[in-house]
Amino acid sequence: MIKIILMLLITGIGLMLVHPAFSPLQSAPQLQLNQVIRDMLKAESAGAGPDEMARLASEMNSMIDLEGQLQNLNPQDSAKRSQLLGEINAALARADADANEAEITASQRTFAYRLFTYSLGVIGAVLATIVSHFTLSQWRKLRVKRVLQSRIVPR
Amino acid sequence: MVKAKLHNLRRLIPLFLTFLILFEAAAYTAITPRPQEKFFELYVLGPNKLASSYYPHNSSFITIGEPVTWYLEVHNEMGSIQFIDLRIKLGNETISPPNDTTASPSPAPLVTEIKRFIPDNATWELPFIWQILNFTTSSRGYSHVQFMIGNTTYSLENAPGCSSHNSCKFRLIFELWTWNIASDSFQMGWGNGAQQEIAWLQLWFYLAPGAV
Repeated sequence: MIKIILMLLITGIGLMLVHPAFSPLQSAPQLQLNQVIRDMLKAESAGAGPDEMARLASEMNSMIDLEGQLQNLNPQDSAKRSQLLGEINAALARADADANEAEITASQRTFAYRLFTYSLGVIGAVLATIVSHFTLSQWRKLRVKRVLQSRIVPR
Repeated sequence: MVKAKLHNLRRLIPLFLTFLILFEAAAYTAITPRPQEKFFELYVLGPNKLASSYYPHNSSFITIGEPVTWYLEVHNEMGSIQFIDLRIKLGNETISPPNDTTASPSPAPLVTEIKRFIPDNATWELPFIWQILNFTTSSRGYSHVQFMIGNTTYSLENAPGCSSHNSCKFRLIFELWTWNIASDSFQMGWGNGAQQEIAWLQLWFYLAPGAV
């Protein structure tokens, strides 16, 4: 009896371990896929450029091609299947790492760009104040000069 | 002298603050991305990448084993990278197409699906070369269709059958599905605020009577 229970337990654990290999986008990799997509979107909203996003898209499309190969594989070819699964997971991990790196680089770049633009605003305001102050003072001087130059004509 | 300078400075501060507000508002406007309309474009072109000559010999009567070349194109204007799933279904005259009002897919059987990541403002072009390798009708009004798309063969059991022996009118339905992060799955079309929008198209063809 104990032997049967043990056998059932071992078979059950074996099935649980084997099952994900037959549905790559239904189990663990799917969760990872969603996480990678989230990280890619984060990188994009942080300001990653079209080139960086195109590179990430290309990496993910390579992973999808591998997944296509996996789905077309003969169920008996378990060695090739596990090799492809390993490649898919590696591709996902690589894309995730690249997305995180792109997010960090993009956020630093965006911060620097914002700082530069707002600094330009401050510099522009200082320059505009100096110019307007100079123009006003010149205008005032001109007015005083005109008043002093004017003649009083009796009527 | 010092008093005059202080007086000047007091006059300058409001002026500087006014300019600062104006310039920073301009900087904010320059930095902030403008809201844009979010949409996809889905279209199909003929072998010359034109919206014409979709069928060989300019006839939508297809014979078995006759390859047809189309180019499927999806353009992403969603403002972010998108993971899409293009579902290809086989319908006949009676089966209903996708519903634009309820944003529901067609109940037609799925031939295959093609997934792709498309960056924002980019177009994905898929050469779609297909042919029907085999077609048989069953007694229950269904048919068995063997497709070849690219180099892959797809077998469709319980496919829609012919309405009559003389006319075997079919259509290939292309539905655009997109990945929904919240639900961890593909959804028909895409969310645009509270609305669900869909993009799909269909191309009709006849299986030539001699071929059936």
